Amino acid sequence: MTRDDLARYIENEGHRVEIGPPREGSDAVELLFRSRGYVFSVGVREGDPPGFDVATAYEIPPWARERAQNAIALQETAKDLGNVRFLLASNGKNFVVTLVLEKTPLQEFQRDLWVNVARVREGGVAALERILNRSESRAAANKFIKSLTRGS
Amino acid sequence: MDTDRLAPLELALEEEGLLSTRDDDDDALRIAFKSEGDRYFIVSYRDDPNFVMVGSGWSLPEGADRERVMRTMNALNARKKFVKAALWEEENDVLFTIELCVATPEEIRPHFGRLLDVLRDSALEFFAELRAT
Repeated sequence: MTRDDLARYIENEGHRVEIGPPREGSDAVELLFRSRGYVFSVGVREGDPPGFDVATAYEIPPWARERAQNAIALQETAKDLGNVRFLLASNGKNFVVTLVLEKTPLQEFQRDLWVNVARVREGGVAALERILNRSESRAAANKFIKSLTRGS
Repeated sequence: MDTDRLAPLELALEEEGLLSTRDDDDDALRIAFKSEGDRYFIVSYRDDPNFVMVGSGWSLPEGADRERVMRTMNALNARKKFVKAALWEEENDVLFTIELCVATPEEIRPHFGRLLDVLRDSALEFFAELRAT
């Protein structure tokens, strides 16, 4: 099975792999491994050719958890990044970055695995930066407005 | 009794989700592991228990200009924290190492992720600069 072959490949690349249960409402199974401090999930949809997605989650600092603003920031980041998708999760505490690869032969997926992991990582970092920059500029604007309305 | 001095670093690798193998002998304790497909090692010598080295070796591109390689390595050595770059094995390979003096390798454990990042980044930057210069 593609799932088992891919799990062996990732282990051979040095990473401990856990095979998760089938995803709810889909035929995809999940492989979980850690890299550079983050847990990555690879969704495997069996088929000929199979389909894959690579995902990880980032935590949004409590002071920057503005759901509506962050949803816009994620949309804007996604525009620059092709088939990388973003989703707010856990009531806006986290966001998930997912790279979707439909109908990709296993060998091709394996060959590009670490490049794709890096794309997900870079997408996450870019989105987090955008969220934090927006929050910082909003905080600065609020401070400015407050000082103006205080009067002299 | 001879304690397993590298055990804390095996735990650090475990925490990073990485698989590893041991290859100890009368002279040294060694751990080999891979991360994202690249090979790394950790060495501690039995007669110098405070010394720990974490490293990785990379083949140079065929026909790489030695002068350019040396310049790039020197710039890297001057700029990067922790890492030492050197030519190795008849000057066909470049070795990136982090050499530490510790009372116990347990001291390295909380910083292990950072040290691995530095090793990875050093190799990436070295080859990027070698291609660019």
